[in-house]
Amino acid sequence: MKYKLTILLSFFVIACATQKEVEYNLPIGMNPSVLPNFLERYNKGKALYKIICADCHNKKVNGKTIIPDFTPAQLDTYKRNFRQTNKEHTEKLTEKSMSENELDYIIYYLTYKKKNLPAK
Amino acid sequence: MKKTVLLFILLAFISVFAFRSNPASTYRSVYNQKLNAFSDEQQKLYSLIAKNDLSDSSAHRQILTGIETARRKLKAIDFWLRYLDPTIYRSINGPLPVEWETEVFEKYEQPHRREGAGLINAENYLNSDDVKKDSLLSLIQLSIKAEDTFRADSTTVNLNTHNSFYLCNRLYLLNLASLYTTGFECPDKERIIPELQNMLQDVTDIYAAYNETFAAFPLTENYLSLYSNAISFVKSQQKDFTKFDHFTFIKDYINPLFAINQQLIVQYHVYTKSYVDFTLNNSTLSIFDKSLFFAQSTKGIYRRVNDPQVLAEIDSIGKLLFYDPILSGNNQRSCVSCHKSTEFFTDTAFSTSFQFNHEERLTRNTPTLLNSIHYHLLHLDGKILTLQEQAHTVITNPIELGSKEDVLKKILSCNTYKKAFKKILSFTPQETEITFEHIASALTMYYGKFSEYYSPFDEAFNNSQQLNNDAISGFNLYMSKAQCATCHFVPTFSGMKPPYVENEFEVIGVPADVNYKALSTDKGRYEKNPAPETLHAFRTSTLRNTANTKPYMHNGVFKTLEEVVDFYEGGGGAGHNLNIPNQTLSADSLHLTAAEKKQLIAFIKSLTEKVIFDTPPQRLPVSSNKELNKRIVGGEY
Repeated sequence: MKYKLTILLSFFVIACATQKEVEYNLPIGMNPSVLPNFLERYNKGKALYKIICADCHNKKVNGKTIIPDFTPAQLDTYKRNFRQTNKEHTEKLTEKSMSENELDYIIYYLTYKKKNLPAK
Repeated sequence: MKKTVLLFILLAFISVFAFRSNPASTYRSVYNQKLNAFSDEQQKLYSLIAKNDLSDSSAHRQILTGIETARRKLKAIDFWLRYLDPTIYRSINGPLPVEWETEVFEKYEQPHRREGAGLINAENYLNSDDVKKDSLLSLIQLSIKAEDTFRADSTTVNLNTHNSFYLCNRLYLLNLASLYTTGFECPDKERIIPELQNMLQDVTDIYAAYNETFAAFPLTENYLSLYSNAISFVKSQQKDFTKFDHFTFIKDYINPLFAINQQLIVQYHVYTKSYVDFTLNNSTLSIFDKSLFFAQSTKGIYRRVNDPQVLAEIDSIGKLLFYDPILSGNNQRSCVSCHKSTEFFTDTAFSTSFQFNHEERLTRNTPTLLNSIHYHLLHLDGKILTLQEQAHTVITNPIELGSKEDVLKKILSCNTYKKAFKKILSFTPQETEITFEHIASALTMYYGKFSEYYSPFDEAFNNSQQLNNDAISGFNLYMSKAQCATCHFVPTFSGMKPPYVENEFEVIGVPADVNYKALSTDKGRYEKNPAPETLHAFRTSTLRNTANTKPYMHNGVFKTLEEVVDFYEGGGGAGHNLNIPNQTLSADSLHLTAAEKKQLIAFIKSLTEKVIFDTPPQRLPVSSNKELNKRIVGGEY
C-alpha cells in the first residue's frame, strides 16, 4: 500500500514538474505526431526572439524577466507590416539584420508561448 | 433664449478649435490647388469623350489634346501622387493595360493582376483600331475615382510634416534619372522633353511652398540654385529627346541633387512609414552607388555576424565549397563548372551548359553570378526568392548538380569543413546543428562580394572619371532612340526601377535559332505564374558586364552583341515575323544607323565592371571517405 502511494505520489510530482516545464500552448487540434515539428519551429523562434527582440521588449519585474504577451491582432499587424509600424524597427531591423523567414519563426513563438498570469 | 446663446458660444468654440487644428499651410493649399486643377481637366476630358463621336477626326484630335492637358496638370502633382500611393497612382498613370505585380513585400504571396486605367492607357487605346466609347470612358472614370485616395485624410496627413517631402523628392530625383527622359510613360515622343520642362518648373512651386511652411527643415540654397541650373540646362537643350544630353543631365544635375537630398534626409532625421522606402538606403550619396537599395542578403544565415575575422573564415570556407565538386551527386561538378571565375562567373563557351548526365544540354543559358545579389526575384522566371534558396535548388536539381540528401553528410566527412562549421555554428545560436543553410550562406557570401565592383560608366558619375565620347553618345541613344532604358532602367540596367521593390518581366520574342524560324518554346514566367500575359516572359536582367557574358538571351541564341542589337533593331520576335500576340516590345524597327549601333555597343562595354577575380584553391579538404578524395578542384565537366 505504502509502495503504491509512493509510486502514485512520484507520478504526481513528475507530472507537476513536467507541467511546469511546458511553456507553450499547442495549436488547437494539432495532430500529436507533428509535435517535433512544432517544437523545432517554436524553439527556433524562441532563440531568435532572444537574439533580436529581447533587449528592447523584455521587462524585469522584481528581478524576474518577463517576456511580454502580444495580442493576435498585434502579431498580425507585425507580420504584414513589420518594418513600417514602428520607427525603431524601421531603422534597426532592416532586411539585413532579420529575414522575413526569421520573423515568421518569432511570431510563431510569440503566438504559442504561454501567456503571463495577470498581475494580482 | 439662454439655450440659443449657449449654442452660439459652443459653435464659436468649435469653429475656433476646428481652425486651430487644421492650419491651412501654404504647402497643403498648393497641393489642393494642383490636385483640383488636375481633377477639373479629367472631368472636362470625360465630358468631352461622352458627348463626341469617336470616329470623327476632329473630335479625335480634341480628345488627344484633352488628354495632353490633363497629363500636363498631372505632371504638376506627380511629385506627390507617385510617392503617396504608388498602387493607386497606376490607375492614373500606369503604362500597361494589364500588369502583374510581383512586389518584394508580396514575396510570400502569389503575384496579382491589375487592370490598367488612366491617361496613358486612354491615349494608346484611342489610337488603336477599334475604339469603343464606353471602354475609353471607363479608363478615364477609374482615373477620376483614384483622385479620392489623394484627398483622403489618411493620405494628406503625410503632408503635415517635413518627412514625406524629402522622400517624395528622392523618388522624384530617381525617376528623373530613370524614367522621365526616356518616354517610359509618354507615348508621344515629341512631348517627352516639353513635359519634362513643365514638370521641373511646376516642382519649383512645391519647393517654394514647402520652404515657406517648414522653415525649420528647409530645402537648402545650394539645392535650389543647382535645381534652377538644371531647368536652364533643359531649356538650352533641343526638344527632341534623341538629341537631349541625358548623360550630362544626370551627371551634372540630377545625381548631385540626389546627394544633397540624401544628406538632408539624414540631417533632418527624416522618418518613413511608406513601403516606397523599404529597400532604399539613406546614406548613399550617388545613384550609381551599389548600396542605393537592398535586394538580397549575401550573408544569409550569418546576417547578424559582424566580426570581420569570423566573416573572413566563412568566406574562405565558401570559396572552398564553390570550387568543390562534393556538392554534386557524382562528385564531378561544382559551382564553377558553369559559373566560371575566369569567364565573369558564366559559361561563355556554350549556349546552354551540360546537364548532370554530361550528354544533354540544359534549356537555359548560365546567368552570371555578378550582380545577382541586386535582384529581388532570381532565375529568369523569377521562381526563386533568395540566393540561399537558389543555391539549394541548383545543388539538388537532378539535371544540374544532382545531389541527394546525403550532401551535408558528405561535406561534414571532411575535417576542414566539419571543424570550421562547428566553430561557425556558435555564431548562429538559433540553430542547434549544422544545416544546409550554413552551407548555402557560405557560398553566397563568397561569390556575393564580386558584385561590389564598379564600371567606367559608374565612375564617370561617382568620381567624375572621363568616359569616352562613343560611350556617352551610346548612352544617350540607350535612353532615347534605341528605347533600351524603358525596360533596362538606370542605374540597375535591369528591370528594376525606382523605388526598387519589384522585378519586371518582358515578352520580347527570342527565337529558337538565329534564323528566326520559330519562337523559343521556353514558357518563362508562365511556369511560375500562368497567365496570357506571362507566356514567354522573362525577367529583365542587368546589362552590366554584358560585353563579357556571351552568349545572350535566356537560351543563349545570340553569340555577339551585334546580333542582339539587330534583334532589337528589327522589333524583337514579332518584328521578325514570329507570331507573338503578347509581345511587350514594340515590333517596329528602331531605325538605328550602323554608327549608332557601334556607339550603343561602346556604351554597353563601358558597363563592364573592374572585377578582381581570385584564383582557385590549391587543394580541396580531405574526407574520411576515401572514395571522395578522388575529386578535383572545380570538378571534371
